[in-house]
Amino acid sequence: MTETKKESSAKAILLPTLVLFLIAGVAALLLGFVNDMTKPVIARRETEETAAAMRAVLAAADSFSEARHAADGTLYYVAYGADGNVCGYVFTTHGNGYGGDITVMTGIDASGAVTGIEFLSIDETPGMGMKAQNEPFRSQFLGKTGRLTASKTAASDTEIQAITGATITSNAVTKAVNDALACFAQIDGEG
Amino acid sequence: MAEKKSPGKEFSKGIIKQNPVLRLMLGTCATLAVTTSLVNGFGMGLSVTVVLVCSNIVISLLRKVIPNKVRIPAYILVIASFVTLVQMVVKAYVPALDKSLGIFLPLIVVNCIILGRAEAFAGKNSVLASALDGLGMGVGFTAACCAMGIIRELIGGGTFMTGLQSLLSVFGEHVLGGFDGVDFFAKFPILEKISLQPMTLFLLPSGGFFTFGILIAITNRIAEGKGEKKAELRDCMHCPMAAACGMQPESCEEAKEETA
Repeated sequence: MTETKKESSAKAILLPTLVLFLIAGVAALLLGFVNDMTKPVIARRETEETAAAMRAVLAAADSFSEARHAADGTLYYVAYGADGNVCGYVFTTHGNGYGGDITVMTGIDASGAVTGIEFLSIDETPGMGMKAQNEPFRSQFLGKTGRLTASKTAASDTEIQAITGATITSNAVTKAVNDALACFAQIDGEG
Repeated sequence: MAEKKSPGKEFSKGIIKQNPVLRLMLGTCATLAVTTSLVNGFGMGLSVTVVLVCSNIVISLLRKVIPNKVRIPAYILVIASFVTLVQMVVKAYVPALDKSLGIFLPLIVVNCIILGRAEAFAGKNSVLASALDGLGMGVGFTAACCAMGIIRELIGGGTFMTGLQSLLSVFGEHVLGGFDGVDFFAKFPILEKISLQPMTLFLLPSGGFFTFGILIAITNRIAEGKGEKKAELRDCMHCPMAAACGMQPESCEEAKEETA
């Protein structure tokens, strides 16, 4: 209708847009700046954590090198002893726990026995499934070979005593370790 | 909220009288989920406080610039930026806290305490008052989280302040003599001999609700003792959500009559 009305409706559309655009721009700049600052720190921390976990599961190793499984491209680490010979492997495998994915890092020595397990991510019920991180559940895997099962009694050598009230967690961790052992068997068979 | 209050009152109202979690019932999801230990509750409280104070200040500064029509997207934009910022810093310098808070750290964006304070307070008040309001609400939230954390950790796990070192790792190794919490069951084996067991229920969501209910009752009692009126839903004018509610008073009345 009138000039003023047209002008104000244009203003009513443009002004909010401009303000939002400016706020978003400032926010993006700020976030980009902080991201630049924290990104190297986060990356360094992550590599440190992986390295520490690898040393924890395979204490005998001196150095590690990345390798990929020929068949399915799974990433694993080959561990070398102080004498430069292969002394074991480190695998990262998953199991389906009660509270989501459980990621386990397993160290296996050249003879195929488990040398240690470490949890990279676990989100189970506190006081129940979370006990998988503690002794005595964890050390049960040490020295185990072949195919393992979680059970209530742990009668034989390939059985793992399940945590009371956390069968799903116990099964998930056992499955992850089994996957690692299976990977080892394949690699060992090839080489 | 219209009457002028002294700066001290702006700060202190969030602690008991208008405690965001225990009196206003805001942000309960995060509160129930992460308070399985004192350290977790405190870390969550601290993160929320930082975001709340920063967003309150910025929103109050921009309150005359932001057009009314786009105020909600503008608030969310400001809040989300600060949350992402806090998340990156926590990930880089306190990774253990990032792991234990998990998804609830980025979810501070949708924590209704922060948007609620932006809409109800910071969008209408001066910068100083908004900063104090944010700080008070943040302290109130942290106190509520810590209280929940202490009770649940102690009864549910028999421990106190576990994981403290991971929170303090920002300041270096072995702060406070390497004190990393107490496990009462490991320290006093007699507890297990008299067949005492931690009540795991308190670490589960149901135990969280128990603790939450009891704390609400206590806070209401204290607040009423201080002369605060009982929270009642008489009509829209008295509803704590009136500022953010889209319903018109008439339709609100109608809805009330229908249910009556």
